Amino acid sequence: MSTATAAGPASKAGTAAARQAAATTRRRLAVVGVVIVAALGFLVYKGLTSAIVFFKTASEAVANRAQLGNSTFQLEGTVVRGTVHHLGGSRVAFEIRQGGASIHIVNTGEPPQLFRPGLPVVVVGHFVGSGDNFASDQIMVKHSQQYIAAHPNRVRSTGAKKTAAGR
Amino acid sequence: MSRNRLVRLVGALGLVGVIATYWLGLFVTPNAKLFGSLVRLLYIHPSMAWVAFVAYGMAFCSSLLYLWPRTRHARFDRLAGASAEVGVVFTGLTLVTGSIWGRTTWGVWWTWDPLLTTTALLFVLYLGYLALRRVPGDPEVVARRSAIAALIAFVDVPVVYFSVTWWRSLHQPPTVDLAGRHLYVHGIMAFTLFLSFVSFTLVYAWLTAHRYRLAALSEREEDEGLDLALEERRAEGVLA
Amino acid sequence: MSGYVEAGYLVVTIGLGGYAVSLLARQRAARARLQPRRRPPVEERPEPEEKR
Repeated sequence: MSTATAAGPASKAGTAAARQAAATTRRRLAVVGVVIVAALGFLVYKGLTSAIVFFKTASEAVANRAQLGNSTFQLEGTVVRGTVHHLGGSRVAFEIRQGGASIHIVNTGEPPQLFRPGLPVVVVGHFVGSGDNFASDQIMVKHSQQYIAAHPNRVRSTGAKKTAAGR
Repeated sequence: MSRNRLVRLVGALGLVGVIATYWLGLFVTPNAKLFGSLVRLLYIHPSMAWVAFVAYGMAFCSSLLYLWPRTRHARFDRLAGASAEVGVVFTGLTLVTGSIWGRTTWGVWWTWDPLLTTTALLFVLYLGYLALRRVPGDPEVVARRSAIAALIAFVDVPVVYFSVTWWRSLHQPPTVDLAGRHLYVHGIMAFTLFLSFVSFTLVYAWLTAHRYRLAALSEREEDEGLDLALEERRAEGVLA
Repeated sequence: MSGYVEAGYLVVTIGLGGYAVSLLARQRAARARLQPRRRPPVEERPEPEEKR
């Protein structure tokens, strides 16, 4: 009998602890849920506002020059050969062209390693004044999905050397 | 026993394949025009994304099988959960390796490009799915709710794949163009890329098998815990 | 090479390797928790002194 009475409160305490544990799990899940919903909302917002139209092309920007004013946006065009000039203070000036329109860019900051004439870029910035001068503070280099071996013949010979060394 | 050996074989092949991929990718394949040695990230980044798609595809299929009354079985629920978890690991690696590659070629760690945004969404969606699986409740209710969530989350997979063709993107289209059946690399580079896909898929299979086993063990543990509790209650009854 | 390439390979290795190790460890832990319950009650167990 004494064991039974002893077991009663013990088991009651056990279920109370279990209930508390369940409540903690639920609270944790609610936090996780809120975080995830917030993250989803943020991502969907980002997706709807900026990602769908990730950039304006140079010809669109020129066509909508008046509306764009001095607002900040992402602009795409191909770097024109012979127009890249490094200015002082890690600034670089160049021209981009796309669909017959061209825009003069002055970027503050070092351009990425891959930056070179002939490759398309997306620059982040805004028009200056009322002309086609554009001030950017970020350059993103676009590249194709094609990867071509740099020096197929030379690599073959070094490859052969490596296998010889391996032996 | 034979299933055990199959899993071991898959794991061994995956490991050998990954080592071969690393060796080819880091030392044998040539540098590329424009990219130099950065092209070597090609042998790890696309395969991470590919495996994530495979993992979510598997979660989708096994969730369908669970929801279909004739094939309803706890093992499909377990497989869906296991595969999705491994998929989340590979999605995380897709984001990290992509970020590293993006920093060196585009010049930024991250940007809200459609492909990147939808991939981040994919990561969060499946994290949510995994969290949903942990919400306590009647096992069958939890399994059904999870299966439906897996079907919904999968909608984002084709969106990720086609985002580069649907919208303007900084990210280049896939080097392995499944829809257009075209490959944009050649020779040893193409072979290494192909090997990376196969090897990491085998690694995925091994990881999923082990995650599945762990899930089965935990379920048994819970069942036995319940049995134990029942026995205790019965013992109490006898004593009283 | 550039450092970035090595970093990429390292991240993949650590990520997948770490996950694999954690799975195996959790499996072992789960098996270890399951084993003692299966053992017969204490009275039927062989005496530990026998091992000496």
